[in-house]
Amino acid sequence: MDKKNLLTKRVKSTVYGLSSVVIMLIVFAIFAVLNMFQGISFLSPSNLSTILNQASFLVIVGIAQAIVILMGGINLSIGSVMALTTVMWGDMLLKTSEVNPLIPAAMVILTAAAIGYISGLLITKLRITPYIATFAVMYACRGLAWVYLRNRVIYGVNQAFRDLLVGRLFRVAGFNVTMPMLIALIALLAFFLILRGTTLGRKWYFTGANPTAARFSGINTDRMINIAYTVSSALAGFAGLMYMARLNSTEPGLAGDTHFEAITVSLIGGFAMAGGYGNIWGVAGGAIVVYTIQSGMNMLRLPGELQALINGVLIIFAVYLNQTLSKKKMELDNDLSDARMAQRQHSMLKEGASR
Amino acid sequence: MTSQKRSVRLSGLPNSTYIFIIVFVAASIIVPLFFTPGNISTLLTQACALMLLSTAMSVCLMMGGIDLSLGGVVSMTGVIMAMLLRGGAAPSLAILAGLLSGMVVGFLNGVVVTRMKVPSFIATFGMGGIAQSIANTLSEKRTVSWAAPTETNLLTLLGDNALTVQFGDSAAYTLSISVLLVLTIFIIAVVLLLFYRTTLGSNTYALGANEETARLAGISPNRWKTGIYVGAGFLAAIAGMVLMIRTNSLQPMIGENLEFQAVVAAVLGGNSLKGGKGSIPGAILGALTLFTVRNAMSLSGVNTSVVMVVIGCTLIVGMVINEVVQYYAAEKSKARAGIHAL
Amino acid sequence: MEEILSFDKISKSFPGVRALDDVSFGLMRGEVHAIVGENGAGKSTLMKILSGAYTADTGRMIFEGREIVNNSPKLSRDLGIQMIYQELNLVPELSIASNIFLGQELKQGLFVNKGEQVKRCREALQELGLNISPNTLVKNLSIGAQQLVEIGKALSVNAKILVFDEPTSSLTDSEIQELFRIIRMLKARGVGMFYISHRLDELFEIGDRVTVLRDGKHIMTDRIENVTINGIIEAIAGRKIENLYPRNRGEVGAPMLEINHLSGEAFQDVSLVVREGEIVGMAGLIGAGRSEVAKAAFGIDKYKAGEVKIGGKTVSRHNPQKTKKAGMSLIPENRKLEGLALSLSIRENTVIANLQALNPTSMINRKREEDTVKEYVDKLNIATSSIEKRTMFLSGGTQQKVVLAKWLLGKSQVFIFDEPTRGIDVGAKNSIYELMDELANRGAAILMISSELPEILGMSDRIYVMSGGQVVGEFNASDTTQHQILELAFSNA
Repeated sequence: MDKKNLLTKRVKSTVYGLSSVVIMLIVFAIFAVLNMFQGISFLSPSNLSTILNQASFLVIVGIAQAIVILMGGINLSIGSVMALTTVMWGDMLLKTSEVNPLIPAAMVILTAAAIGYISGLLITKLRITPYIATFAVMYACRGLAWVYLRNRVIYGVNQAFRDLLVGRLFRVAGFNVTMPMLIALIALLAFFLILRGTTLGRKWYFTGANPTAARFSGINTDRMINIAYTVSSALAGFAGLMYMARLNSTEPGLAGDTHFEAITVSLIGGFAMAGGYGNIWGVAGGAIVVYTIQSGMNMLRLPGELQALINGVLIIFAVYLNQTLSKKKMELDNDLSDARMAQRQHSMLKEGASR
Repeated sequence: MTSQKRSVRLSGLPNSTYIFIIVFVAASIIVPLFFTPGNISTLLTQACALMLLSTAMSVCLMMGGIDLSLGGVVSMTGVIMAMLLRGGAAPSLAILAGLLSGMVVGFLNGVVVTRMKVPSFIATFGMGGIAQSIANTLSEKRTVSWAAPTETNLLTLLGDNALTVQFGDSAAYTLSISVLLVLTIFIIAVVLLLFYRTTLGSNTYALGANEETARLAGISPNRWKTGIYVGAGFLAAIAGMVLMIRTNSLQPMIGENLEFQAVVAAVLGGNSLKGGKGSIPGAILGALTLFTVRNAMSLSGVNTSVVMVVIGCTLIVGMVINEVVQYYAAEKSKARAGIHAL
Repeated sequence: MEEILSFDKISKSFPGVRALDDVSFGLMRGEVHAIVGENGAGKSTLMKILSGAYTADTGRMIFEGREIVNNSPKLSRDLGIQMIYQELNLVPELSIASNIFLGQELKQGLFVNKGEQVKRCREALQELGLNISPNTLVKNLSIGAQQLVEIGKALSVNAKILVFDEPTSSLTDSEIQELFRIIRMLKARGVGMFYISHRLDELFEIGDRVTVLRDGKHIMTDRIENVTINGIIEAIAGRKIENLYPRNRGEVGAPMLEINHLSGEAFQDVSLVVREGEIVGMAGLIGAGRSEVAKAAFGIDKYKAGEVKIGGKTVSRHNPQKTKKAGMSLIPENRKLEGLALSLSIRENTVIANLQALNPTSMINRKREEDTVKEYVDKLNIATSSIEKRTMFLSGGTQQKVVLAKWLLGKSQVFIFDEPTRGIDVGAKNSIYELMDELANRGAAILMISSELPEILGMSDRIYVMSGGQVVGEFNASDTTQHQILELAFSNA
């Protein structure tokens, strides 16, 4: 294999591995061009910062979904967990409350984690498929939220708490750097480290890729799945706090479509439904794509209802693309590694001959 | 070995029978107004749409797929029909357009699943979003209503009662069988006839059990799968029509979450998300179970939100009952197979 | 009798293995032709070539006087060649009648003529001498009955050649007699049958001729009257290279693995012991319950009664995490399903069972990990361009070495090897033997399950024989023969 060929393969492999970034660039290009005709600057710093800020919320729910998809499962209860937990502890987060907001915030996350643990038990102990189990949990949580709050809306959140979660940090050249961006970045980094740098992450990938082999390797697969759902749900609780801070209110109907969005984000992000495949940074790409389309369509004054249509097309297209590309990438990587080996041997031979 | 051996057969009842009986009897005992002719007829009419969707869903599940676009298709076809009616189109034409559009979505599902090899879970999930979005966009998310017809036409005919029997004075003692219910039963009967009397049923089970077995038997998996998705789209469109006529207007979000409920009904009825088993009657009983819970609770004045919680719990209890029943059935047949082979 | 099919100089190679080497013999009309040989002797490969699933590298197949060209599963079926596999191709949720007519339903307009199907099916079943309702769902039939339905299905399309692959392995005695009665009936009708079986006594009951394959080569074909069980066993085993099996072991020490009166679904009252520095072979036929014992001992499957001691200590509340901690490793039978995550790399697969030991802080030390994996890749001579290669791209032998590396990396003192060399070439086999020998030399206790007798005899110090879910014999490797073991393995199969 000659050098040029090798280089093309390397470039291709990199591109194939980051399909969410490719999709993101395509989407950006489309909207930039479309908006140009309307005389709106899509790529202006302020618009970009809005996009990144809003996408940050999707990053959190996207990660929550991605880690269970990694395990070959799915979590439909994300949105309803956000609603139930914030509704349960929301009164304590209001301006009028005397309690330190960090206490109810911690309770929100703990309650959410407990719900996730229950989902995990339904899946591992009662052997109910994730789809059905988390659907039941979704129904139960949404229902409980309504039962608990009736038709009231919790409004007027503690300002310091809001600033902590959704405040603006500083402004550079028209670009606002905000807390959600920071939080999303920290979350991505944290999960990158967990998935790539800890034994837990390694076991997650392995369990997702082949649960039988994982069991034969002495991994407690049930426990891995339970942890994944617990963490996923805890993240949902945290996302609920962020949504509540952003909206300055919460109500039982909060985040009604979020499970849908979260699935879209993680699938565009390159996570495979079969489990065991995906890169957490893809979630960032997926989140930006989903929000860019939302805001881009607003700017073009297209009806917001069309949003779901684009999402639907995108999901199908992204999964099709990821499926095709991930297979090609694996083959390319394999060729590349063989080629490198051949080169090494070749140069060693040459060295030997010249001596 | 020549001696007469009876065939080993387990009780043929679908799984959901048990949970349905439990729920139904409990409702009849606890809720005073539940077991009355009036209420039963209301319950049945309310359950029509979900029965149709559960029928479609169980066939999709049995062949090893899933159709999560059903809810979206209900909304979309409903909006299309309602808007055509509002625009003054003849009811028959509006309904035909709705049915066709449902089948088109089903066809697209089939193409994406069989040609692009996208898992049916994702393909139909995405397609459902697309269909719902079309419904929202067309209707601008507002309820679509139309002028009441001045004379008898297809719509008033379908919206009428087929049979009314008075058992007493009050509405509770009036049994009224709606035309919609008759239509639903008729359509389900046709599906059952096709399923159990033509090759549809055996091919569906074969596809769900093992696609390779089906292919070896000369069944074209792609063609049958696409056909089944088209059929599912058709049934969803009928469900959209039923809902539209029953409420005399159409709220574009009407189909939201219906596909989930259909999955739940089918799973309660013994269908598996892994395919290859289950039955249509089981799914229909599952749908009736869900509506029994809902109806009984709303009769007793329970908040709708509590209903959601209870449905979630019913689902889990139902799944556990299914597991237990299956476990004992398997043990039983294992034991029997061990004792005598044939 | 005329020849209906003949194999003419068939050869087939897979990477690293010559599966079939110049094989020629034929099948007569109305003949039951038994094919015997060890696992990997080439029986299945030959039958897969016949069915069109594989293509031969060289050689021809002549069917009814004409060469079969461009064979495919469809073509062979159309010609009337039908396979009855162990894993059955039936739809469990459908009735017998629907299964037999699947894809070729009798129709009346749009509708399936179920009445007619049931009638014809009943006739067919009666012809086969089966008194069973055509409406019975297949999932409610025993495996034996399902097998007969499968035969019925094959007959319904007018099969001229039937291939039985281990048809009796899961049948009861009375079911076997039923099957034989049907085979005799088919014989009378002129159907030619290949009959692959490990149960040699059956061949004398049902077979007309027998062919022995060994290492892909045709060893003999003869009429059954002309041979004895002993003769066949000798032909199956042949003579093997002795120095393939290294033996540098020291003294045998204390018991490391003790299984006492263990009973489960597929085995009853199994007791055995493996001591320090000892390799113990476990011989038996496929389906004798050996792998099931291994899985139960490792904690994968639950068992009903008995106990397992590792290093003298009883393991309670068995699970793989505990047995692993107690110092036990299981190298599983099916490396693709149970051994590896194929989409992950050699590195990720190698360290997976010892993550915590390698990374006590739970943070992965990438450098140490890479060094360790490289060390084992060198030590086991794993042929790869990089430790990042995904295991799906490796050959069978290399994959097996990765599974081995995974378990060698730990501090295990007890190893169960389940068919460690299945489907891999001689060179790789030898290096795996050397590893096992080295482990034993360093004091590990090894239980090796194998269906290859030379391997069992060559590697083991002691040998247990399992048959029908029970341990039926124990030998010292030095004073037993293949013959003795085979006889016992076939004893209550």
